[in-house]
Order: sequence, then structure tokens, then C-alpha cells
Amino acid sequence: MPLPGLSSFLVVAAGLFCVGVYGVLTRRNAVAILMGIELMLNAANLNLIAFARFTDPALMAGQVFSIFVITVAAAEAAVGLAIVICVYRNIQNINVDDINLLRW
Amino acid sequence: MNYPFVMLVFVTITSAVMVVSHRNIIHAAVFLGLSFVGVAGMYLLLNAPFLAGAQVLIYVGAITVLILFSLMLTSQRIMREPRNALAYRLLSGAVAGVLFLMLVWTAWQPVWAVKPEVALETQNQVYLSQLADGLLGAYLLPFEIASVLLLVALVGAIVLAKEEREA
Repeated sequence: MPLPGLSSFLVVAAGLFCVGVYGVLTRRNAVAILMGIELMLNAANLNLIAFARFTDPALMAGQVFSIFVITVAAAEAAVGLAIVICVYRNIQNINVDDINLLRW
Repeated sequence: MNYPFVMLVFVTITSAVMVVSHRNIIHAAVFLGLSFVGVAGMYLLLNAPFLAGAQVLIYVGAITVLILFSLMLTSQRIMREPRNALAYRLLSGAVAGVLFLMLVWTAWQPVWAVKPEVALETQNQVYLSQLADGLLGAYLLPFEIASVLLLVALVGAIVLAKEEREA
């Protein structure tokens, strides 16, 4: 079975990214917004690995870079969810429309 | 026609749509894990078995579970999330759709029409040693900085989430 070309993977990653954008724009729960961000990070990783496979299969630059993206995504998820828990402890709500403590 | 690819795309995109549209937020988080599994399968197709394993371990095993735990800690009363107004959702869908069309137009430019001309049938050993050479050779400094970043994130998350006791 032939592997589909680079453009197919780019289109799939674009679709995943746009679904993530829609989720970030429409969700109200802060954790659900973080889920949309994770989808977008996955789309970026898919792009990086597809480019690594099709343009320089011998060098590992794309795969190494996506390892760093996974690392940063894990750190971001941990800190983001800790912030969400901290906000919940203070105002008993994580609906982003209601988190307006800094608005005067 | 590459059937594994088509099936993986179907699983990934369908569960991603469920993530952003399902009313029950716990179900959305489980669909997020399924979407991550689909992306891991695509990594396998792209000759990246180590990254597929890392994806399953870190995203499916750690991040999805972390999200589920924080949902249980924070959202017991609002499992069914209220929706935004229809006009707002339509506007967001239009923004995402236009972005998608622009990205597809870019991806179909002839410069990206690269066929997998190199039948890279590397052995797993060779692949892993290349990856290790990259991580501990040319990219050693970012590797060390990433470890410091993880330590900082660990400490920061504990400090933020720790319950403050009145002394």
C-alpha cells in the first residue's frame, strides 16, 4: 500500500488544528478549552513528523523537535490544570465567562 | 488507497469533533484520548515508532488522565456545559472553516506534492540510535533545557494546586 503524499498529512493536520480552534472559541469550561489546545498541539506535531518523513528521512530534526513539543505540552497541561484547580478553589467556578476578577 | 491511513484519519477527526461538540465534558475528555491514539497510529505510518509510543504514554496515559482528574475536582455540578449562543457558534465555525480552507489551499501547492520516494526501511535499532544521536548530540542544549522546564513546571503545578492552610 503506498503511503499517501505529504499534502494528505498536511490536510489532516490542518483539519485537526481547525477543530481545536473551534473548540477553543466555543467552549466555556476552562478544561475544555485546554482540550482544544491539546488538539492544536497534536496537529503541529503531526506536521513536524510528516515533514521529517518526507523531506529529510535520514536526519531526525523533525522528530527531535516534536519530542520537545510533547515535553512543553505536558508542562503546559500540568500548569494549566493546576491554575484551573486554583481558580476553582477561589470562586467555585471554572466557566471562563465568570472568571473576571481582574476586570474593574 | 491506503486503508489504515483512511481509518486513522476517520478516527482522529471524528473523535476530535466529538471533543469540541459533546455536551458531556467527561465524554469529551475520553474522545480526546481516542483522538490521541489515532494520531499515534499516523506516527507509526510516518516511520516514527518511538514517537508513537511516547504519544500513547504521555498524551493518552498522562494528559488525558490529568484532564479527567481535574474535571472530577472542578466540574461536578456542571457536567453538562451550557452552550454559547448560536450566532457565536456559527461565527466560530466560520472562522475555523475559513482557516481550514486557507491551510488546505496552502497544503495543495505543488511545492508540497512530495511523494515518499525514499523507501526508508530502516531497522528499529538504526532508527533509535539516530534519534538518540540527535537528542544527545546536536540538540543536547535544548534537551537539558527541557529537563529544567519540566522541573519548573512540576514545582509550579504543586505550588499552585496545593491547598493553602491558614497558619
